[in-house]
Order: sequence, then structure tokens, then C-alpha cells
Amino acid sequence: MKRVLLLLVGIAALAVFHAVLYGQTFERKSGLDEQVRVNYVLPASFTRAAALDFKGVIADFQLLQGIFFIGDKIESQNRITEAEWNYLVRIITAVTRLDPYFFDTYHFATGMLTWGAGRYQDAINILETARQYNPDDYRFPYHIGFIYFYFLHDNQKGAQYLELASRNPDAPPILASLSSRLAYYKGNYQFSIELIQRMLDRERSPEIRSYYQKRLTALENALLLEKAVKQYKEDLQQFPESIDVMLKQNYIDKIPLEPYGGDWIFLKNGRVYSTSKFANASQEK
Amino acid sequence: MMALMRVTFLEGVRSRILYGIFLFALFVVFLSIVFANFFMQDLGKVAFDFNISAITLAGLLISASLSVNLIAKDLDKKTIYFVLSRPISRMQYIFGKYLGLLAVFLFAYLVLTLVSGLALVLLKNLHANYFDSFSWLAYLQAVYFDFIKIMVLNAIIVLFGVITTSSFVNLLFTVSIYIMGQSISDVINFLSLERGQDAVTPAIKGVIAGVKYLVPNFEAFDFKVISAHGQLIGWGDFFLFTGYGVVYALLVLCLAALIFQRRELL
Repeated sequence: MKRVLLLLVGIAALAVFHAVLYGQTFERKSGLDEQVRVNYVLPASFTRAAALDFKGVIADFQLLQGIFFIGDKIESQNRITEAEWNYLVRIITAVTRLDPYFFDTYHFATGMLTWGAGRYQDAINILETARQYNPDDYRFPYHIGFIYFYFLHDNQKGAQYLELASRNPDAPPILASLSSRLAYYKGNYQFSIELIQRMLDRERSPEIRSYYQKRLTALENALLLEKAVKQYKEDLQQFPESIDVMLKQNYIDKIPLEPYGGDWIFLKNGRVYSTSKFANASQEK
Repeated sequence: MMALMRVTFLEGVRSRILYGIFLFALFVVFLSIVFANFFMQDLGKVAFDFNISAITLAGLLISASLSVNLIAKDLDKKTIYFVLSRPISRMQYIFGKYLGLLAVFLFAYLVLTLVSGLALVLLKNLHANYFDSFSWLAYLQAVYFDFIKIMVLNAIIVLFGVITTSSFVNLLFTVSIYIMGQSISDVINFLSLERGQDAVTPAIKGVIAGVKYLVPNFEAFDFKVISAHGQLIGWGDFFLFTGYGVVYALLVLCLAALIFQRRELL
């Protein structure tokens, strides 16, 4: 009985000691790994052969590696360097070799490369590869169309891709009307809100959601101001000179939030813009 | 022969190893529920990958543990004399053992498909919007061809079982053939590319050209990636790939029977 008691005390003491050591080794190892982060990706041709019967699940794990890497960078608010974006592109290439039909790979890559890195052409190239393997998936031309319209301000190409997407039988009917309205609504906030809201509704990635959410808030607030400016013009037959005038005359209750940190500016034609151009400070650098 | 098949099957399903492997596969199935949440859109595909991998892994583990010991155990425990003293030919012994093994795998695959199916139903109900490309028929297609692969692999295990008495040597040979069979099509594709032309000497190219007919092309039974996206193959392809697997397994079994006929058992 005594021996058992002694053994139990010993086990309890070792368990506590183990928990302390575990915490310390975990932190220390993470620190060491951070110092010598190599960011290598095995060549896609090797991974494909080495994956044997498990190509699909290894593709999943490799993509997770990329998601965690970028997620970690965003969370710690470190600026992502050019080399790190290239590392992400290498991961994506390896995953697409293992499973060229995996939507999440393309989705994550383009989400990050456009909203995060501003590498629009890279994103379009990846989406074009996706279209080759998944010709029946309307989501790829939809996203290409969005990049042309929203980031590259090429409405003609944007409409062309949205129209391509709308031809797919699985595409929601709204796409057809979106594509036809695209050219007409150049620079229209309401239209951009509709496009982003559609993407946000289906988005699960917290990183990409935060990009969409931030832009949506900016656009909604810009739209709110434009509506107030329109009312002001109707009432007083002139455009307001500044936001303070609107505030004083109770056309708005408070200055709406500009999530990118810029100041609202009113143009003489009634349009409302921001000095930040709705770009993240790190992206502008 | 049927009696031998029955005995082999009963021996297999009573094995504790089998239930250990079931538990492990269940763990992987459970992981699918956890890991699917890390992804953004194609959750159906990720859940599919994890569940089919659990079945594949279980199939390989059963082959590596139960199957390789099959004939070695009979020889080791001298039970083979008891069996062969009955009115049963050596060829019937080989085929009876093999069919018994297939029955064990059929049982294991049925159980695992059912269990993984339940996990998929649960995930599908939780994330209905993200299971667009998922198809039950495609899931069964992937499981079916994995079973065909196991059928071929076990024929090879039986062949090595009659060549060597050591189950460990059998395992090493079988693993080598499995790896070669899985990667041979990638090697051939690489050599057909322009940059692959100069990568190896003509002598190695000659060896590879010969080996590709000896080693089974396991890649031919790997429909997991396309099935995960709900794609089905046509009936023509279905019979072609099934036919290839059946013919290869029969060829190997006949070879095993031939060697076993001439083998000195004392």
C-alpha cells in the first residue's frame, strides 16, 4: 500500500514537472524555428511521387501549411515580404500538382495575392490555370471578372468574365444581371458592395473575411455619405464643401468610420472618396 | 477450397490486430471532422480525403500485418501439413487462402465505408453549403478501386509468401513493389518529357521499360483525387481498370500456385 502511494506521488510529481518542461520546450523550439525559418517547399514532382496513395490528403496538409503561415503573419501584424509571398506561390504550385481541382487552393491564393499582396496578374494567372482544370466552375471566371473590375478598373474585361461565369448552368441568375450592369455602374459603390457581399456570404477563411469586411465597411460608409451629399444637393442646390458642414447641418449624425485610416474627401461632382484610397498602409509601402 | 476460405476468413476477423486497425481508422475519421473546419470552401473534398485515406491506410495496415503472416504462420506452426493431408490440392490451398483474405478485406471495407459514411453525413449536415462537389457514388467509386488495389497487392503478398518463409522479408518485398507500383507511372511520364530524356542512362531506361510490365500500375486504381471532386468514370473505363486488376491478380496467383506446387515443404 505504501509502495503504491509512493508511486502515485511520484507519477503526480513527474506529471507536473512534465507540464512545466513541455511549456518551456514548446516556446523555446518555436523561437528557434522562427530564427532559422527556411520556408522551403519540396519540388512538386517529388511530392507527387512520394505521396503514394495519399495525394489528396497531403495536398490538404500542404495548403494548411500555407494558410497557417500567412495567418500567423497577419495575426502578428508582420509585413509580409516579397520572398514570403513567393514562398506562398510555391506552396500553391505544389498543391495544384497534387490536386488540380481543389478550389480552396486557388481561392486562398487569389484572395491573399489580391487583397494582401496586390499581385493582381499573379492571381489572374492562377485563376486561369484553375479554369483549365475546372471549366465548369463558374467561380473562377467570377473572381477573374471581379479582379478586373475592382482592382484593375478594366470594366470591359470584368464584364466579359462575369458574362462567361453567368453562362454556366450552376451560376446564380444574379450574375447575368451583374455583368450587364458592370459597364454602366463604373465606380459605383452600391455595385461594389453587391459583388463583395456575395463573396463574403460564402467565405469561411477569417483572413479573407477580414479583408472583405473591412472593404465592405469602407464602401458602405462611402455610400452613406454619398446619399447624404445627394440629399444636401437636393435641399440646398449646391454640394457641401466639407464633411463638417454636413455634420453641423445634421445631414449626418457622426463622421462615419474610414477603416483604412484616411480622411473623407468630397469631390465637386458629388462623389465621396478617401485619402487612403481604401488601401492598407503596409500595401501602399 | 470453400472450407479453407471460411477458416481463413474467421481467423482474420477474430484477429485483435484487425480491431486495433479499426480503432486507428476511426481516429482518422474523427480527425476529418476536426480538420475540415480549417478549410474555406471545399469542405466536402477535405472530408472525403480524410475518410478515404482512413480506409486506404487501414487496407495497407491489414495487408502488412494479417496478410503477410498468412502462409508464414501455416508453415511455422506446421498446420500446413494438416491442411494438405486432406483432399485438397496445393493450388486450391493458395486460392482458398487468398479468397479468405479477400473476404476479410471485404468485411473490413464494408465496416469502414459505413463508419466513414456516418462521419460524412454528419459533416454534410453541418456544412451543407460547402459540399457542392461531393458525391456518394464517387465515394463508392474510390473505395471500390482501392479494394481492387488491395486485391492485387494481396496476390503479390501470397506470391512472396510461397517464395520466402519469413514474413518480414515478404513485407519488405511487398512494400518495395507497392512503392514502385505507385510511382512507376510518374517515372514513365517524366521520362517521356523533353527534360527527362537526358536524366537517366539508356540502360536504366531499358530496365524501366521492362519493369513497367512486371510491377502492377497501382496508380491505375487511384481515383481518389477525381472522386473527391465528384467526378465519375465511364463504364468502359470501369471495366478496363477492373479487368486489369483481376487479370494481374490471377496471373500472380497462378504463378504462386506454380511455385508452391514445386516447393519442398520439409
